[in-house]
Amino acid sequence: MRYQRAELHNHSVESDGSMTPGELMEWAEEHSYEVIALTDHNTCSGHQKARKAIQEKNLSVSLLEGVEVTTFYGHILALGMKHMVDFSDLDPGAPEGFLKKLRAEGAAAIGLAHPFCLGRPVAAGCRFDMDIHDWDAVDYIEVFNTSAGTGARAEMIMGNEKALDLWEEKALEGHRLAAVTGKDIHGKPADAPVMITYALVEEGNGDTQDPAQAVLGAVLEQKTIVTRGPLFEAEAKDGMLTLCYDQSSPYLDWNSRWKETKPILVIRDNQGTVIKYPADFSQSSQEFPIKKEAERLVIRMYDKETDFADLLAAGVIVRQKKEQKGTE
Amino acid sequence: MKEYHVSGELMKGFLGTITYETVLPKNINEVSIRVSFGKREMETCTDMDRQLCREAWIQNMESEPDDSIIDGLIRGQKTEINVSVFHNGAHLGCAHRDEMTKEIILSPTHASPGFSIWKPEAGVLKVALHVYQVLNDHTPYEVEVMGKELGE
Repeated sequence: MRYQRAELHNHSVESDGSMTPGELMEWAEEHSYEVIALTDHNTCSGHQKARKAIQEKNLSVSLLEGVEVTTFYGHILALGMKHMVDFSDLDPGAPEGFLKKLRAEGAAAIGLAHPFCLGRPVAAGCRFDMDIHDWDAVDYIEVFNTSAGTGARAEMIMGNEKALDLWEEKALEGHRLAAVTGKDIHGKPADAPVMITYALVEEGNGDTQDPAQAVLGAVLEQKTIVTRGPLFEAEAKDGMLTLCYDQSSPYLDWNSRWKETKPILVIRDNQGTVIKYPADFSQSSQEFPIKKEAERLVIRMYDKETDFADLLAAGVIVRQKKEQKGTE
Repeated sequence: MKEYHVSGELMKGFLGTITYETVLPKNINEVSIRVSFGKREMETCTDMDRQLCREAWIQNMESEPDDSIIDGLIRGQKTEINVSVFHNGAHLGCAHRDEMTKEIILSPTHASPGFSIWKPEAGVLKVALHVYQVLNDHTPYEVEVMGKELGE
């Protein structure tokens, strides 16, 4: 398995962005994103232009076609969608029927964009004000929208902590939701130490594997991590959580900066238990005792303190395997 | 040149989609659509406007905003109307950008941002105004749909 950097929420001049689809593809390549989604507001008109630019400029970045369905009651990211639909008949009290309509038009992964950002009347229609009754109709939550920048105020304006809390609540309930970030690019973003998304994909299928499809698959399988650098795979079995670390990411110079951190692991399980452990990034893997009865765990990694501002990585869900006992 | 022109007024607080449908004749080579509206910024700020901003701020920031913050939140709001176009039910595109006048051209050789090139055909053209926010009473808007015939 390997980690693939993906940026899943972006706009171009086809809606209210300032970069052309081609410029956005170039930006993604320059910033080492292997996969970039084009999710203009309520239009797919940029997809062909982005593909053409990738071909003509000989870029290696892989395009994930999508749309940000921008309704009056919140924004829905539809990755894989190739044709926009009329959203006038959306019932915010029961949006599941509308989400099915998006799937019929190619949406392979449906996500909630910035669900807790400042609401009406300040940011009309941006906060998610729909009543989801069936969480299986949704595939992911944008737990970090980093368009407002960094700092406590920016995080609160976007409601990122509440979005992460919501994701953890639903994931622990058993809903198959991935956690991702979104830069929500409208102009060239400033370099800032924000969370980004990595997808855990199969190693070395070479030319046969489309990176964009691999990221889509990772989202649908909850194999994503939101991070400021650290990457890890997690497995839980018979009361033991094993983390395999990867400190190789060059993002924010993590591959050298990790040595300065004092990581704290926080594990929350579906029974409400919260456990904290000091982690040691100098090791390639570590084991941590957990409750044998826990079925699902979510993981956060902090640096030095466990305040939200100190979060290094999150968005990882693990299902505990239990040893099969032979019959007598 | 075929033309279709409607206008109207929206009251403060309106939220929803207004659609206009027109039948396109067979011999149209290009469709242009112009949607405009006025009164972008709030002209009269009421106590309720300030209270709603205060509540939205507290919901996220968990602290009381001072007057300068509320003033900023009021100034940052805008009347927002974006435009989608459909033909026989198929989505042709959307003009979603911060412009009080949106000019859309649809033809076999050219399409405005947000739209793909399209060869006009006979059928039902639907122009949908997505009204996300109206900040003032009697906010005027206009819709013009023009079709350039073959040979023009």
